[in-house]
Amino acid sequence: MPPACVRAVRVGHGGNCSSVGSVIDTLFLGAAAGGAMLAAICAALQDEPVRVVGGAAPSAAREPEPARDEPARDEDAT
Amino acid sequence: MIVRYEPWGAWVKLETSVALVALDRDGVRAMGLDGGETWTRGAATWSAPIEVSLAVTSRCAAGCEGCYLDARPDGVEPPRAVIEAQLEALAAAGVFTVAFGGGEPTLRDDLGELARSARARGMTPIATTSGLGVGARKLEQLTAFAQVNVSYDGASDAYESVRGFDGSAAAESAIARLAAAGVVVGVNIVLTRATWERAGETVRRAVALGATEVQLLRYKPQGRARTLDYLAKRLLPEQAAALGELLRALAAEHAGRARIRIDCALVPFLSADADLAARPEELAQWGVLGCEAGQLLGAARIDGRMAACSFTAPTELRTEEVGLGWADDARLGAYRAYVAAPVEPCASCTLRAICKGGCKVVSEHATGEIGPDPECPRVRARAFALALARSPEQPS
Repeated sequence: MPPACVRAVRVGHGGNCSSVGSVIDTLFLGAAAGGAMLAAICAALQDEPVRVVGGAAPSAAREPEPARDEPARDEDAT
Repeated sequence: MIVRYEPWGAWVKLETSVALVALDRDGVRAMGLDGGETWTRGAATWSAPIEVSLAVTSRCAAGCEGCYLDARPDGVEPPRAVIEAQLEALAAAGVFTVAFGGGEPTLRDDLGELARSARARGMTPIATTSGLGVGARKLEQLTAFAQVNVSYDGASDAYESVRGFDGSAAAESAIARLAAAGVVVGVNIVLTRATWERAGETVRRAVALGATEVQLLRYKPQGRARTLDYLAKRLLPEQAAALGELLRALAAEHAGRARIRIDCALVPFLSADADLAARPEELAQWGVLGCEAGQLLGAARIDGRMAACSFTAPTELRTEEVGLGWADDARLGAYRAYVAAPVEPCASCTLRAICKGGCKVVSEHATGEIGPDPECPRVRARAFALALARSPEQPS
């Protein structure tokens, strides 16, 4: 995945009862650390199975992941 | 990963890394995918929020004096079937994250089951709690969430200065016990002119107790905070202007141990930070979101109606119909309209595309209409300059 194709990365689970929040410590990473994080994200984009939500996607080339009854707990990225 | 096509590409929610990624069309194609009709029909509208705050009860016994929802002990609690139907609709619309709130969500006996239900539908469930009354049974329910945020404005008097009582011991206990139980714990710290001075100490305590994420929130004039007292609690102009400096210090101190977040309403204050204001592309790349009311953010109110955010008046759009009506609702459109065509000084601000005009709840409270956030340092500076320019023409 070319990093140039990444418009935005929101790190963390997001979500709060009252507002949309954004992680800001990534803004203070050096270029090398930021680049490494972006590279890890790009690698993950190639590895995970795909499931499409929220509308039609008739041309999807990869098979969608079967729905799971109990998705595993997300692991912390940092 | 979960993919939601958008006219510009797609949102992609990763599951092995905790991240939400916006990819352009070339990036989506690089994964062997195609947006199909979403890319060809040409409508550049928001199809659905990516995050929804879901009120699962309006009951709360805490009685915080600044509660933005005016939650009370005798509030209502929708039946589980109602919440399940809302979760179904939100998942079908492509919502990624559901933030359970209230009232105090832990007052529901079925909270854990609802969290598991959200997960089963592919959404990430988050809960916010005061920590009050969280015993073993409620703790067990909270383990079903991907993250639990505890409201914690500081130790003793700092907490009391925001909420009118000292609930800090319960909050601190909840943070520690949740972390010990393996739950990802965040804390919500409301910034007022009193808590600002102790923010560093508060974050330090929260991280020491086991919090791995800290979200700073702006105090907003809604609910029980919609009084003259708001003017005495909101951040001082010099505090607002120093937000970037505070964030830089917190990020450096807690790097590798806790993430630092800010809420959407704090983003306009970054305009006073020369370094951050000069880097709008980086803010965008790292997903910093300002006012997304009615766009990427929505709120499902306790009566089932959708609102642009938790602080705004509800629309007539039912949560069960969010996928059909989000793009076209007129009341939501009012929030989007300002973002699309802001006036000065928002129009020429480097952070315009990120900040999106600042907090509309504050501007509506101060002026009666959606407009530039009057507490934004840039807006204040312009108002001051205009007043100075007019002053010679005023009669003495």
